Amino acid sequence: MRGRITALWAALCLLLTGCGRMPYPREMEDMALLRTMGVDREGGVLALTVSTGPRARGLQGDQESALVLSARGESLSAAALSLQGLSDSYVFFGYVDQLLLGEELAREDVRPVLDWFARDAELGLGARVWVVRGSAREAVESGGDRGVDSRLTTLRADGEMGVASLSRTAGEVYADLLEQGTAYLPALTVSGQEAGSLKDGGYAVFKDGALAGYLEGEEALGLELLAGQSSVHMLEERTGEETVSLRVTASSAACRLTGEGRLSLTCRVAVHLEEYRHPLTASQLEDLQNRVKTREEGRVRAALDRLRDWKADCLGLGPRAGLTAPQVWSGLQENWDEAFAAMEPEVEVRVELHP
Amino acid sequence: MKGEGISRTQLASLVWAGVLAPAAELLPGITLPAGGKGAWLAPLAALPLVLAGGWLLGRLGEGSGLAGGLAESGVGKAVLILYMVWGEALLALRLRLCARRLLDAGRRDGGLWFFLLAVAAVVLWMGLGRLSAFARAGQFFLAILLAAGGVVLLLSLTQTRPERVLPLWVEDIPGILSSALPAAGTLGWGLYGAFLLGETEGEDTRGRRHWLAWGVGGCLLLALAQYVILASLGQELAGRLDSPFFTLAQSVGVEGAFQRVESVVTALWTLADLVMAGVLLFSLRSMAAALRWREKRTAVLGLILAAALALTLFSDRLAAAWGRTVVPLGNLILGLILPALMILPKTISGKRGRDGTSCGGKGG
Repeated sequence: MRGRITALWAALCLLLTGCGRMPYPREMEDMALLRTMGVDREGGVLALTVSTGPRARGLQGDQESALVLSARGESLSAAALSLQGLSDSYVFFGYVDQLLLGEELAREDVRPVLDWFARDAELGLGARVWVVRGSAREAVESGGDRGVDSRLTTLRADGEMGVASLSRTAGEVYADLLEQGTAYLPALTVSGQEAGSLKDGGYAVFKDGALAGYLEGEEALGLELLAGQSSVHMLEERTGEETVSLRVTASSAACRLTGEGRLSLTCRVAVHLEEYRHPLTASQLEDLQNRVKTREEGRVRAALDRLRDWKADCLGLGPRAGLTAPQVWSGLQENWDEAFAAMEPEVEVRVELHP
Repeated sequence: MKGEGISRTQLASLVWAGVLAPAAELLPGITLPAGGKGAWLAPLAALPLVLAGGWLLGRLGEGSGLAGGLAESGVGKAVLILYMVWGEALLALRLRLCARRLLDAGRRDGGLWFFLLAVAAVVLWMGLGRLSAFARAGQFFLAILLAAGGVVLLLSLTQTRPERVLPLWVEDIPGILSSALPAAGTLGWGLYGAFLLGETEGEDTRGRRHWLAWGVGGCLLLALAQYVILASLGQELAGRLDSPFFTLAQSVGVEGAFQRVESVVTALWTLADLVMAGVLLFSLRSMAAALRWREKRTAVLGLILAAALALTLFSDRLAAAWGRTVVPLGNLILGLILPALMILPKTISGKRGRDGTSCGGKGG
């Protein structure tokens, strides 16, 4: 029986001669493992700039400088294919976990890039995305010999710890764009060609795939408060004769729809007293609490006003609030963008002051 | 295969481990057009159809097993051959889809035939062995698959946004109910488990509750998995992807421990393909034995034919199209409609017979 099976199997294998080739072996040292990808629109075509981190060489732990490649094409796949020919290593996209989108491309439409990340076998929706206020190529090249990946990793980690802008994945952004038609992304500015040249540049807000504008300063802090993930920031307030420093450490946000279909937002903020000369009295603490409340409320309102101008509920406040009053939401969801722009949301900030 | 008794739990494990392969490929994409936002409830909506299919096939196989019961009459033999042909098509498709997934997991170009023959060889090795050994492996494989799927879904929980799948309205109910059909067609891959019912041992009294528990539990777990997938990706994005589950696996990781898990998950999912192919091969053996053919030779020829079909008949595109359209429909016909059509005359004639006896008794 076994002999017959073997013979049949061999016959089947013979029939397959020339059917295809064996899987192609790849050695790690022959591969360029890309970490960062920048996408730009340059003169009507798409430009991809990719970078590895510093590459290991030999057995002594030596490091080769980061590989930076750039290619242009009518489509993303064409540009990616051109990259293969530019390196003597096999260019591998499976480790790309940082995506930078140039401003010109962002003003046009970022959805095709995110769609490519969703469908491609090597790329993935877990990649972190930033918008570069300028050229993504410039941002990728700003890393020099060491590559830009360590700086972006730091920014991402800082964002998770609350000391930099919130980082977002391609999947989160693409799902938001498809579900609610709008999304926000952290933005970066490029200054110079040295390590650390990439800096926080607020948030880019997208509407129907294209850049609607940026939220910076107070507005950016307002967006973080509304997202319930405020970054750690300092406040200086005067009480009586002295100036005290306060550290905002945490926040959370809740939203609901009132019976009249009005959006009601409640942000909770934890504040720690950091620098002061004399112990504060109860009335001074209450005064401080009110001042912080007014300031943070102003930030939330500033962010909301800007988002309403753009008709862009990029935080999904409406759908979230809709869960608290499904009946009211059913009447609003069809034209939510218009309703959001027209309504004046109720905003309440609750401050928890820790002396 | 006689004398190789397996427990009901082992058979249920085999069926669910095998069904996880098409479920991961097709759900929720196949149910989204009808179910929309509520597509995550499709496995629960399909539960009555799944239980009905199981009950019908069980009734058909009462006594001498499904294959044996069908082989008793001429019409039954023809139906049995139809099941064999369909099983052969499913086997070819499963081999092709599994080889394609392995190729994609390794991100390699070319060489599909290499993976296909490797998978076919493993299936042949399992399929010519003892059913009891395969069933024990099935339990172990199910545990691995549930653990791997559970890790992916657990890591994805932080990405979920309930507003993407809720609230649901009364108007959503017809869509959810109609999504039960494609969902049941996907779960219908497990219908060949019924041909192994004759190999199970144990008391009959607990049988119905046992199958009910496995059916309800399996559909409930699938519904929860669909909830996490849709609440993470949203229905629009999930609808655009070939396989939302594997895309979700692509986007999860633990910083500092492992950043990408999808290759591991994809490779582990081969176990589901192997179990499904094994169930199909063992059921082919069971059907061949009922027709008094040489069961092992039939299994070998069946597998070689399936491998050849997978290589020559199915392109990647055709295999995907069949998986989404033809196969669910065929599974519904062979798992529900055909058994119902065969049981109905039996039931009616049985009732008439009982009525006649009763009258005769009275008259006597």
